[in-house]
Amino acid sequence: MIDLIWQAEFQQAAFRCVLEAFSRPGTINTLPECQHNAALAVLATLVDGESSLADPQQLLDNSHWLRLQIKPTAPERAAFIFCQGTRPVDFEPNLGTLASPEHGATLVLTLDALKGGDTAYQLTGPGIETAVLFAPQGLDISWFKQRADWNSAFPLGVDMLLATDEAVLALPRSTQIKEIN
Amino acid sequence: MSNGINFAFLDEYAKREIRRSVIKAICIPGYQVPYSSREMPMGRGFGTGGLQLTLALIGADDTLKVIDQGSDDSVNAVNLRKFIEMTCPGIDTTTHLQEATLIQSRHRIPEQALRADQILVLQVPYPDALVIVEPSEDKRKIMHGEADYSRLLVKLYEDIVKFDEITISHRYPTRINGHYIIDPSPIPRYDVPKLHNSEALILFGAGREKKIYAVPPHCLAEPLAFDDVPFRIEDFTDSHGERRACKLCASQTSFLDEFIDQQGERVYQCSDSDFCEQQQELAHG
Repeated sequence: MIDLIWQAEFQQAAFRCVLEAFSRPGTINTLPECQHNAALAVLATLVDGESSLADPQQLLDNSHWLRLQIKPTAPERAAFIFCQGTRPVDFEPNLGTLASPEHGATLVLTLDALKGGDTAYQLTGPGIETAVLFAPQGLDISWFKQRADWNSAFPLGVDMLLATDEAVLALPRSTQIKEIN
Repeated sequence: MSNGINFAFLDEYAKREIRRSVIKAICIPGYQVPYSSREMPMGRGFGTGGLQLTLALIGADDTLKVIDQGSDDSVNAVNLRKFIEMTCPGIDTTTHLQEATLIQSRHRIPEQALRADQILVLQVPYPDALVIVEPSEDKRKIMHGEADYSRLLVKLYEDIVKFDEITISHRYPTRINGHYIIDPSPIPRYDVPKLHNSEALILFGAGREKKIYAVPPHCLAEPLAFDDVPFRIEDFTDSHGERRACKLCASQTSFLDEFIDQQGERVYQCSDSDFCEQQQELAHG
């Protein structure tokens, strides 16, 4: 029996959850139930042999790569980059070009929790009616510092998806992040 | 699975590619994301772009509404609905906007406001608003990236010089989130303000031109205009200065279609048939 996350019906439901997350940045969206963490379910949903994936911290094992039908790519060239958000950034992702900004990478970061953290951020931008607050737990501070650099020249930039065991939260490049005290 | 056809017709690789493109389209509001646009069992130009989006999104628990020019019963809507029903066993279809979770439409945004739990998919014949001023796609992509729309504004200005107003009736160029200008598909001007600060996600699919773009919910959408020549919608006032009403439901707020009846008289009725029927039901208790 193939695990649920590699099946079409699950991937359709998971995609709608990810779509909702990107449509409404800062909202916590619970994925349909499966036996794996949300990040792996998202990769199974979006990545295949026609895309590219980097795993600089070697979080995936060989069976995952076989299922994804893909070989690892360097983070500088990958469409998707999979990392632990608790560890600092140590690469420069593809930001796309002025003519083709869609080549800017999607970063999938694992976290312990998407709320209840010590530092709160205010999010504004498309998909957000006025503003939402966001307080992730354990996100290394280097991610948002780097993100500000990477996304400084819209439409170039990276899009982020933060994932816990069961839920996801998206930060598209169009979202403005402000730290509040 | 039924009849050996994959659920939602497209193979899973095609769906994943569309899904990746949709996510980039939302992250870069108004940018036309290129995608491969697979061959469909109907001609390009018959809504294959919208159809591919719908098929990549739809699941067995969705309720679908398909609209063509405001009507659920015209030929393009009927054909697309039948095709989706045949290839997506388990889904429900409806003509009532309030029951739908997924709405595919051509040439209209429904009269009544969409909700946050609904997604609108629009079929797009010509995705690029710049094509009237620049034939080269390479150059258009640079112009879009730089948000350089001066030549489009000149085109609108020339309209004002010649005709004293901007003469674009549908496909009105609209700036999304202060950067990209989109062709919002052949919706009338009346529908353009509905793109602004929408509760629902709005997706655009151009099958022949192989582009997907999006207006996220609660996003800035401004029709192109000048400070002294503001954007205006269609004028439905008659010679006595009164707003024309629908001859069936008497609504004085809806977008109207003009007909010539059997006696040769001009008559007006709602373009959105679902809205019109609901108004008539309300009136008759």
